[in-house]
Amino acid sequence: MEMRVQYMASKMYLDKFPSAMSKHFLRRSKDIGYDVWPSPIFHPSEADPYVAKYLLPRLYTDVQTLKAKGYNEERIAKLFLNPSRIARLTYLYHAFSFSNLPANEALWLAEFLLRLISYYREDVFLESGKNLIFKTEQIKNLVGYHKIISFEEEKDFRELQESIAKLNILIANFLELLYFCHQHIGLEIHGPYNLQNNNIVVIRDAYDIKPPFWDFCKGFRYNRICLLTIYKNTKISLDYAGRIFSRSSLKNKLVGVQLLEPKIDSNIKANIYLLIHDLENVIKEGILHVNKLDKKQLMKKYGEMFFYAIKPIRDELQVKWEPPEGFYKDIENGVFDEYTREKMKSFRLSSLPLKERRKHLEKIWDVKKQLTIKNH
Amino acid sequence: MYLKSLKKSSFKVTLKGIPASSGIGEGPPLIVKNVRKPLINPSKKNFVLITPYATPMLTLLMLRASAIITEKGGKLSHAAIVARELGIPCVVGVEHCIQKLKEVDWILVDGNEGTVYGFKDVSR
Repeated sequence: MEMRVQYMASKMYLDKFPSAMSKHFLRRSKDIGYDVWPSPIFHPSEADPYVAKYLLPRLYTDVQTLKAKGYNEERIAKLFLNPSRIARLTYLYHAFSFSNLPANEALWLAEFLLRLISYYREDVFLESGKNLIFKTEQIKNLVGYHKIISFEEEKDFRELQESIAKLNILIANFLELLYFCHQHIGLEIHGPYNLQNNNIVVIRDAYDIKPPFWDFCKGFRYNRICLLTIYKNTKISLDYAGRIFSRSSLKNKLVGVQLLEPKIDSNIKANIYLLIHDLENVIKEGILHVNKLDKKQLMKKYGEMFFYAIKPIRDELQVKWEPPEGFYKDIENGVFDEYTREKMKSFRLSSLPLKERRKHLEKIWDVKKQLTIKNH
Repeated sequence: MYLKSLKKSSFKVTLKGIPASSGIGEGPPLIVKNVRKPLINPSKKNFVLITPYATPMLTLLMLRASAIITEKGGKLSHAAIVARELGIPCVVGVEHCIQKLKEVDWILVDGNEGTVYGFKDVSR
């Protein structure tokens, strides 16, 4: 709370944003965004101006309406369901100038969204490598309440480790199929929470796995998959993008697990095998479905994903969440195609020395500068 | 020891990249140039997957691979995260690996050092 007050006084979240983003993009790859789905069909930044133009003004107006109705910041923050969903909206900041919001409103919104994250976690940019959404007591209660399957007591623990690792991959990849490189719009990975005896807890909560803009997942029988895993003697960190990092293999460090959602069968192993089977099938359907779509159709889906991310706010205001007609028309007409072709050259950074790459990335994510240049 | 016997094979190529997931893995190469190609019923297992980068289209392949090599990406790229989760070796950012490994029939991946060895005419 104290940290938030300090930040509010100085607008520090937005000041810190460019360096935080550059740091995590530098760790990702040399050329940003060229190795993430929806590439190779299109680079995410090709579609972002189309989204930013319509989504950011909508979000600004919606937030103002909620505030006028008496919603405080915390209540608005909680509408987003999880912090990584808000963080993913900030990936549109490189295209903020397309929103056509006046600079003061744009800057207010940019800072406001970052501040909303602080209602979930104190460390907004995960500089500590920890995404701590739950309090220590909550974690202790969770571990105490649910019967954790301890691998030390299992004869076939290797098989279980293998299955859990597989399940984790299937969850992450399924969410990537649904939300492209922004899978953390529907998946919150949080932790690591320290337990006794060098044990740590990581929770993978795939809480929004049937977004209505995809048909292929409609028949999927689960609404949520939430897995609690316990690792021993290893260091795990998470970054602002929601990515998990460890020096050693995670599979071999797994010592305990509990499937918090769904509860299909009382036998956790049976549940896990069934989930793996069902996820493999829905991913197969998804791959076939996605492959039938051309570039423009996929760009529209990519945009719908962002509009869907603020659906809870739209629901609160009882208005439809779908993108406006103009969004689809703009993509059809390719109104930003020329601009993005030019702009994307600035994402080709691999030939530059590290220092230059950092500088370049900071510039891309500097909303203040972006809007100041535009207003001059 | 296995590496020693492999070194006797007729052709060898050594490539360097970023070590992204530790361990040693080996197998015949499976090159997937087109990361959008639907691969939904992979029948093979224990191959070394070589690809420009990982996408969800390759999910079912990655689950059956003994190691992963990508041309692009860093330690936090998708392939690296998948490999660490599964406990299989992975080397990322191996420039032109698809071109350079297209003629080999056996690959050994050293995920600790970030080295990839390609062999031809391996007698096992």
